[in-house]
Amino acid sequence: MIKFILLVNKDGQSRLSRYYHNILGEERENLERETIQKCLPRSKKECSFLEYQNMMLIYRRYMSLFFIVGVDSDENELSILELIQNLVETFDRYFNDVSELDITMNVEKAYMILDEMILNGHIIETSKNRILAPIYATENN
Amino acid sequence: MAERALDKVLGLSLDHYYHKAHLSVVKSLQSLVNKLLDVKSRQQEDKILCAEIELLKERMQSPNISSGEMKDFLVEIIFMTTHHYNVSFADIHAIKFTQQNSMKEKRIGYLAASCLLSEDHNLLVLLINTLQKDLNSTNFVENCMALSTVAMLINIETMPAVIQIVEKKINHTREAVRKRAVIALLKFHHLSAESANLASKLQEILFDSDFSVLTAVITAYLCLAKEDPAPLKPLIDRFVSIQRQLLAHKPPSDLNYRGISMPWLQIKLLRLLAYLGMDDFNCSQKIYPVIIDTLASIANPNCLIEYWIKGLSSIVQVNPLFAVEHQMTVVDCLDDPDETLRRKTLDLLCRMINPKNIVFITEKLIKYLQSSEDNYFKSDLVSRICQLAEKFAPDSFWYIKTMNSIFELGKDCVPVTMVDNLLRLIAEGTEDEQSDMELRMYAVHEYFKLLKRPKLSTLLIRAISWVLGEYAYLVDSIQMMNLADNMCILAENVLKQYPGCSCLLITAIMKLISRTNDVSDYTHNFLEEHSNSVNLDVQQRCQEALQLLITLDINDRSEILPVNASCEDIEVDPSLGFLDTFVSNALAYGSLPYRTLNQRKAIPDVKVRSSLKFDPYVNTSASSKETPVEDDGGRVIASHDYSKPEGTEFNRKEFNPQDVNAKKVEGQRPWTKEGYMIQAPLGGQDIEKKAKEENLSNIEEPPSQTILQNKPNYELEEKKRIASALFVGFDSDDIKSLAPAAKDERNRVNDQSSTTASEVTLSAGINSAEPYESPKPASDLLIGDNSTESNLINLSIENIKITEEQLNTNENSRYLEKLIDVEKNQLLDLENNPSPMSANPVADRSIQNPLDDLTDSTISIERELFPAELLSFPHGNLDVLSTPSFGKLRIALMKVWKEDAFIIVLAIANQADKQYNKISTVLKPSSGIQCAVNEKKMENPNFIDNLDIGESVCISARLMFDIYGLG
Repeated sequence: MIKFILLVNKDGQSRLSRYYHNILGEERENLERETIQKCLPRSKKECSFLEYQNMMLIYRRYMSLFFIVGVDSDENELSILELIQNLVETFDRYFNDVSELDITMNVEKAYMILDEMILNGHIIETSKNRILAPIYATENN
Repeated sequence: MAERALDKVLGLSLDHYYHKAHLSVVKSLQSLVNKLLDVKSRQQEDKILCAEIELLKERMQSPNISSGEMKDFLVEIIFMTTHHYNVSFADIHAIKFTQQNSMKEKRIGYLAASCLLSEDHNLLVLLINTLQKDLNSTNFVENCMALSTVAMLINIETMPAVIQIVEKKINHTREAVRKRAVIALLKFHHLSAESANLASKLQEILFDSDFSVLTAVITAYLCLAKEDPAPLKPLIDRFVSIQRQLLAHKPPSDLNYRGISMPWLQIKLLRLLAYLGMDDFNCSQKIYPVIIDTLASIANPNCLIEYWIKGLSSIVQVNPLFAVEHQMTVVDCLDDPDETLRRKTLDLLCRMINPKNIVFITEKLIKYLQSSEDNYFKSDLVSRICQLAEKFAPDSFWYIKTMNSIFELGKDCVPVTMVDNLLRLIAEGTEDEQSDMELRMYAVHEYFKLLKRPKLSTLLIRAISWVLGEYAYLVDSIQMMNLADNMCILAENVLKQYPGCSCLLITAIMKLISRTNDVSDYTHNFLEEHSNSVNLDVQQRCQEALQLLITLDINDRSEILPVNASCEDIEVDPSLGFLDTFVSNALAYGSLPYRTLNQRKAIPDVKVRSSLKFDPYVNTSASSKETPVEDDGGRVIASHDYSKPEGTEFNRKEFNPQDVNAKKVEGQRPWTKEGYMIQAPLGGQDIEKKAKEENLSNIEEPPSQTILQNKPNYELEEKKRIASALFVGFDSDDIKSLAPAAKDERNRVNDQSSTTASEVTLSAGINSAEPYESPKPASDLLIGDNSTESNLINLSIENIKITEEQLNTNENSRYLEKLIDVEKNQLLDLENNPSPMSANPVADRSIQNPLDDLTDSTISIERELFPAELLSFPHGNLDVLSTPSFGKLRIALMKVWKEDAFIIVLAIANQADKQYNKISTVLKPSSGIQCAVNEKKMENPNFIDNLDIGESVCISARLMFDIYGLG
C-alpha cells in the first residue's frame, strides 16, 4: 500500500502531504525532512526509485515541484510512477495548466482530488473524468 | 509527450500567476501565500506563519463567525498542517464543521478533520455521531465523505459504532459508495480480523459490474491472499475472467490509461494470481493462458516502453529467444536519456547473459558503473557483474581484467571478499600447473602496470600487494629492487589515508626481501623511518622486515617466507614442544605446575571466589533455611551466606529476620515497575510490613502466553516484560508453599519472607494490620472502610485513573488495557491450569480462594451490572477492571454511544461479605468539554457513602455531542 504522498517544491517546502499510516509529530517531521534530503539533490540521471527505511520512495520532478510517494513492498514502483503522472495530468485538467501556485493557493482542492484517487493508501480511481466529477458536483452544489 | 508539456506548465514562475476565473480561491489564504512569496528567510516565514496562527486561533474562538468564514479558516488550517505547526486548537472546530448542511462546507470539515486528527486522537469519539448520521443519510455524497473518513481515521475502539452500517453500504446503488465501503472494510480487517469478516463481504460484490469497485475488491483480496492464499483458490476463475475482460477492453474507455485498460488493476490482479498460483500446479495451470495473453498484449513496443522492458526481462528468463526479435529496440533503450529505462534495460541484459555475449555485455555494464553516481545502484550492479563474471567468465585472464576494473570503479561498493576470491583463484589455480603459471605471470604484469598509476582504490592495492609480493619473482623483466622502491612510494602515499594498505604493502616488501639481497637504500630508509611509526601495525611490520634484512641471510629468510607456499597448510605444533626448556627452568625456580581447566575448577580457591552470586537459587525454595545448600560449584555453603546482600537474585525463602541489611536490600526493590514504589529508606520495624505489601504482587501465577489476538505484538512484549518484572525469582513451589496459609482474601497480605512471620500475619486478618502511613496514593479511585483497608487496595489500583485519558484513547488508556489484559490472561491461565492451591489437599476448600473465586467471574456477570437500556445502544467492549487486588469488589468500565452523547459507565458491585465505605470516583473529561455525572452537574470526586453487601452502583459520565452549546 501507499504510505504517504508528499509534494515539495525545489526549495524543500512541502506543499501538500498525506499520510496513510499512523505517523505523528516529530516522527513525521523527520520522515519528511529525510525524504526531502534524499530525493531533492538527485540529478535527473539518477533513478526515480530509492529505498528508505522499509519503504521504497518513488519521485518525479515537474520543474519546480517534486511528487514523492512512499510505498511498501507490495506496490509496483513503475505503476506508482505512472500514478504520479496520472495525478499531475488530473491536476492539470482541473487547474487548467497547473502551477505550483495553483496547488498552494487551492490546497483544499488538491487534497480533494488526491482523496478521490487514493483512499487510505489504496488506489480507488484512476479515470480523470470520474475523479473530477464529484469535485465539480460539490462546487456547483 | 504529455509529460514534457506538463514540465513547462508546472514550472511557471510564481510571478506570472494569474488568477484563474474558474477557481474560487480563499482570499485569506491567497494573501497569506502572497506574503510568503516575498519572504527571504526561514525565520521570516516562521514569523509570518506564527502570527497567522495566533490570529486564526483568536478568530475561530470568537462566538459569532459565519460558516463561510469558518470554512476559510479551516482551509488555512489545512494549509498550515503541511508546515508542522501546532494547530490542535482547530481540531474541535473541524469536527464541529462536519455537521454543516452544505456539502461544500461539510467536505471542508471532513478534510480538515482527516488532516488534523489521527487514529489515536482523543477527540475522535466526538466525530462518531456525525459519521453515523452521514453513513445513514440518503445522500450518497454524505455517505462517501463519511466512508472515506472511516477508512482513514477509525480505530479499534470506535469501530463497533460504525461497522454494521458500513457493511450495508457495499450493496449501495452508487459505485462511489461501494468502493469506499470496501476500503473501509479492509481497514476494519486490519484492525480486527475476526470482527470484520472481510472475506464473506467481498464475495458479495466480487461480481460487481463496475470496474472501479473491482479495483477496491481486488486490493482487498490481495491483502487477504498475502495472509493466506488457500481460501481464495476457488475464486481463481473469477479473477482470471476479470483480467480477460480488461485485456478485451471491456471497461468503458475513460478507464483507459495510455491505451491500456486499467493498468493498475491489471498489476494488482497479476500479483494476486501470482500469490494463488504459488507452489500449486493446478491453480497455475488455470492462470497460464491469461498470463500468456497478457504478455502478448504488452510485448508490443507501442505500449508503455517501461512496462515492456520489465515484462521482457521476465520473459527472457523463460525463453531467451523472445528478446531476439526486439534486439534493436533493446539497443536503442540502452542509450535512452531516461535513466529508469536504461536501468531496466541493464536488468534485461543481465538476464540475457550467456557465455557468448558476456564480454560485450559486461563491457556495457562496466561503462554504466563508471558513469553512475548512485551508490545504491552501484553496489547492486557490482554484485551482479561479479556474479555473472564468476559464472560465465570465458577465461581467467578476462576475469582478472574485469575484476580489476570493478575494483577500480566500484570503490566502496565492492565487498572485500571479492578481492579474496580473485586472489584465491590466482593462488590455487587449476590442475594444470603450466597454465596456472601463465595466469600468475599475467596477473603480475597487469598489477605491475597498475602499480605506477597515481591513484588506486584500496581494493586494488590489496590485490596488487599480494600478487606482486607472492609472484613477482616469476617475471624476469621486473627488477626486485625497482619493484620494492615503487611499493615504498605507494605505501608512503597511502599511509595517512589508508594505513591498512600500507601494512599490506610492507608485508609484500618483506616477501621481496626474502627472495633477494639487492635492497636499495631507499627501501631500507623507508623501513627504518617507519619502524617508529605511530601506527603500531606499520611499526611492527617494519621492525620485522628490518630484522629479516639485518639478522638473517638469504637462505634463512626464505624459510620464514617460503616461495609460492600460500596454499600450503601451515603446521602448528600443538604440544608447544619448543617451550619445554623454558617450562622446566621455571619449575626449577619454584613456579607452580600448569593445571588444566578441569583441575582448576575441582580445587576451589575460596579467596578467588567472586563475592557476587549471579545464578538464581531456583530449586532451593523447598529446603528450609537451616539446610545447608550446595551451589553449582559443589561447595557447601552455610545458609546464612544468603542473607548477605550479595545476591542479585534475592530469595525471600532465605530471608533472615535478624539481618536488617538484607531486608534493606529487599526493601529497596520496587515491587512492580509502574506500581508501588517505596519512597524512603525504611527503618527495621517497617520492613515486615513492606514485605507484606510486596507479596500482593506475588500471588499471581506467571501470565500465560495466551493473548488477545487483536492486540499488537509489542503489547505482548511489554506484557512479558512487566510480567517478568513482577514474577522474578518465582516458581510454582513458592506458591504451593503459601497454599496452606490461605484463609480468606486478606491472606494475600501474608509474609512469605519467613515462615514464622507469614503465619503471624495471616491470623491478623483485616483490621489487625497496624495503622500505617502510606505514601500519598496517586489513585483517583479510592475504596476503603478505614485507612489500612484503603492502603491495601490502593496499592493495586493505583494506576487506574478514570480520567479524560480513559474516555479517549491515548497512551494511558492503552496502558490500562495492558494492565487489564495481564489480569485477563492470568484468569485464563488459572482456568486452564487449576491453581496449585486448589490442588493442595491441605487447603481449606470451604474458604474460597480469592483466585478461584475470580475464575468464576465472566464478563456476562459484569455485564449485568450495567443498565439494560444502555446496552441497547452501540457500545464498546466491556473492560473488567476487577482484579484480585480489589478482592470481591467488581469494577467494570464500558463506553456507550448514544444519539446525543458519549457515555462512559463505571459499575461497582460489592460481592464481599462486608460493607465498603466512602468510595470515591473521579471521572474527569478534557477541559472545555461539558460533562455530567449521573445526570447531575459534575462533582468530583463523586462519593458513595457506603456500598452494602450485594449492592451495586453505576456511575456514568456523559459527554454531550451538542458541542455548539459550548461557549
